[in-house]
Amino acid sequence: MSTNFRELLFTPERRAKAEAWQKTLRERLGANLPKHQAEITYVLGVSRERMCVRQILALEQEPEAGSVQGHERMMFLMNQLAEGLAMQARFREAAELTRSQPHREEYLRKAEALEARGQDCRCPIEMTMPSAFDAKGVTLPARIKCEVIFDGEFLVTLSHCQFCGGLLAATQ
Amino acid sequence: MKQSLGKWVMQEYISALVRGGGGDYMAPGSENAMVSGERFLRAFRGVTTMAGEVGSRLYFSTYQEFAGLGAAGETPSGSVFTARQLLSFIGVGQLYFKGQAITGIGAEDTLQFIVATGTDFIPGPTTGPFQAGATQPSAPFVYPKTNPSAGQTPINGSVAVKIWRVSGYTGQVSLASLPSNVLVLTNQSVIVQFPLPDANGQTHWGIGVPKIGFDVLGVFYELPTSLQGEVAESVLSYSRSITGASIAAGTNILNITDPDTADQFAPADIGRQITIGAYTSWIQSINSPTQAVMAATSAPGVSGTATLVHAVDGITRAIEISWTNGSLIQQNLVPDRAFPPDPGQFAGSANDVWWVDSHGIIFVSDPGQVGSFPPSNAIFANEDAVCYLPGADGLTWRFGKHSLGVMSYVGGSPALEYQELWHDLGITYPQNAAVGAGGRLLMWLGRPAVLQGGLEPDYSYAAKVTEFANWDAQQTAATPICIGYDGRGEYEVWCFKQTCMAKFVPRNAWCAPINLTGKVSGDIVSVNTYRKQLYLTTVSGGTLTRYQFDVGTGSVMKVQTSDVRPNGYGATITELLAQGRVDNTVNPVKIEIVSNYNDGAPILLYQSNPPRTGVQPFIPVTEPNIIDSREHAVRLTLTSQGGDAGWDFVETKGETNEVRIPA
Repeated sequence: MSTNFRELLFTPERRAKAEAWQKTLRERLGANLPKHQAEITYVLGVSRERMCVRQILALEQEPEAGSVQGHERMMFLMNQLAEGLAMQARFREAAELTRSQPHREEYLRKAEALEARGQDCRCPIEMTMPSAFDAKGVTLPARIKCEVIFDGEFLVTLSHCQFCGGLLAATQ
Repeated sequence: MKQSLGKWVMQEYISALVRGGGGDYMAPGSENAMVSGERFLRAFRGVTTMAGEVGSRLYFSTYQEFAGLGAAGETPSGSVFTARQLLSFIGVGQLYFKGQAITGIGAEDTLQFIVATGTDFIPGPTTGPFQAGATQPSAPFVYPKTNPSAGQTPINGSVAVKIWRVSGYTGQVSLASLPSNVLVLTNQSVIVQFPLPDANGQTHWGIGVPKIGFDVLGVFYELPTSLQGEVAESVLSYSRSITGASIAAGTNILNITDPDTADQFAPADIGRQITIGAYTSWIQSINSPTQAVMAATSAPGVSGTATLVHAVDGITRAIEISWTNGSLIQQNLVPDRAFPPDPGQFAGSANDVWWVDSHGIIFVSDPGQVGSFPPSNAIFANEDAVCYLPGADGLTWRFGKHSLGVMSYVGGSPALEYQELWHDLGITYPQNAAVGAGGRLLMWLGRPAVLQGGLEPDYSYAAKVTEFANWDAQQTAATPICIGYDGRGEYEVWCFKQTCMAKFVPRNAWCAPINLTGKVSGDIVSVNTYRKQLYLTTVSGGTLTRYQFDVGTGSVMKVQTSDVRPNGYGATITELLAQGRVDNTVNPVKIEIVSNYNDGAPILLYQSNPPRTGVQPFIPVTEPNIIDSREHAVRLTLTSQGGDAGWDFVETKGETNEVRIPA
């Protein structure tokens, strides 16, 4: 009765044929492979939003919603939801929903940077740090590229200015 | 002289055979008669409602239990499986575990998981559901620490740092961040300031550094854990309140009166930040458990409750690190393959890898990583999947609407291999395939088919029965043809609406159709095997009800024998002898003769309540004397109560005609 499919399937001939077929399909479908992790993050954010909204609506109907555990879970879900929105570059909405003050401040900071996309802080773009090995010091970029996000349309680079501490957004 | 006209010891049910040829089989008109053992017919035992359990439209065996997807009004699809004590799910539909809905949790197009709590899965802040994979964090900021702490190695040269997220629940890491700002150090150590954690199960941070002097141009290695290469988020977010704190005007001496020794100062507090009202500074040294020296003087005197948060030299969410180039020898590179999985429709695990099927592109994780799906680790199928089935020998079957393929673990990168078996046949709904006895594959390919002993579908599987003829045209997503396996009775069961066709595998024999009318509420929409027993799920309105198959209060068992033609001229039937087994004396037993194929007007020979339970003969009191019967069959009916009941054999006797009787 029992069939050893493995013996039937994994013959050298079949494996060679499968490999050739994979090569054909890779050429045909390989272009659909994701390009940038920020795009995947965006899609995960969309899914996260749906997943959290569903849970929040369900939790609101449950008797435990008013309990300490229910409250903790609701806080967690709101934070997860806010993060999902932030993953879609919807930082201002995220700031309104999060229950974490540090996260709120961070989201607002990014929201402001995005709203001022393309604007520059006018600080020098280079800085010189003292060095024990070079009397003239070492010249380094003053802006640190710290994150790349996808807003559904563009990839946006967030950079931190080491002079003014500002966060700058620029479309790639 | 009386002679034997017909004798039947039924061995199977056959409906695809011309009448009149006789034979030891049950013919159409039979129902609820199960073939069991060797020449042993018994009544279908009925079904039992699984009280307290909620059904679902799809089932998955996992975590030594069963899970499900899809409420009554949904058309679910996807996968549920468990790996590393994580109940993982993807697709569409409400999630169920052990016959209970996990409230508010539904499958989405990204792979999610819930962390086990003992033998259950309870959503919550520490259990999820979390999405598989972690997002890349922002780059950290680094600061030089001029006076390295004890145990730190002063660094000379330029450096930068990368960080990544780590989940303690899964061990999963994120992609490493972009590099931090560059420091040019002179006998200094590095203070790394971390961004905020995610709400997706992150518990730790990993740290990567280059060879000293190479900063952002260097290859980044994981900093050894012995050098604080991994730091718990709980360390960075540490804080406590201290009551009775005060600093006199113009001084930097902080005194506290908090009697709780856990709140008083300890050496670990040096460098941590203190806030009292508008005053914020950090602890430079500690004079006593109730007195600390702060970095900044307070102009006005301040008092009240202080908040202490973790910091290094007043830099919050930070730790101090240092390393030598030698300490990086044989260290792994920082994570650069930890791409979160693409959105998909199906997922699963095989040995040490996970996979996600996204419209035919199957992303395979790196070994041991539940959320690292580098795009280069993809294998390809020719079309979207309809369902996946775990098979024997470590194989996973992939059904499409027009294809069947198989995935297997082969190691390497990617660690899975995919082979397509057919490119022209497939299934329409996920309920249309199941694993049967001995791991063989049961499929509805417009009619029943089985895959065993070869790689082509065997349609002869159902050649003896005609009941499936109209099923294909009638099945819909709401009422699909459902296939299951009852390991206890060794039946492969094909269900549609309120009818089941069961095949007794050891004898390769079909049972008579099982008629569930009046026994279940609504039509069958899914089936599952749980601990070797088969369960049916029906839908009625908005309710999905689960029933245990072949366990219950019995059924009305009808057996109609094949038609015999004693000599072609006809006969007079004068005797009938039957033997059966009954499990009750309250329901009558009925014996009828179907003469000359007149199924609509059987001749009643016997109808009476059995005098006792158990095996006994059933013989009509008076001679039937049915004359000129060219062909005849016997129809036997009994009503069981869930115990042992059935028909053993039946025999007719009489005299054959010696001359032809015109029709």
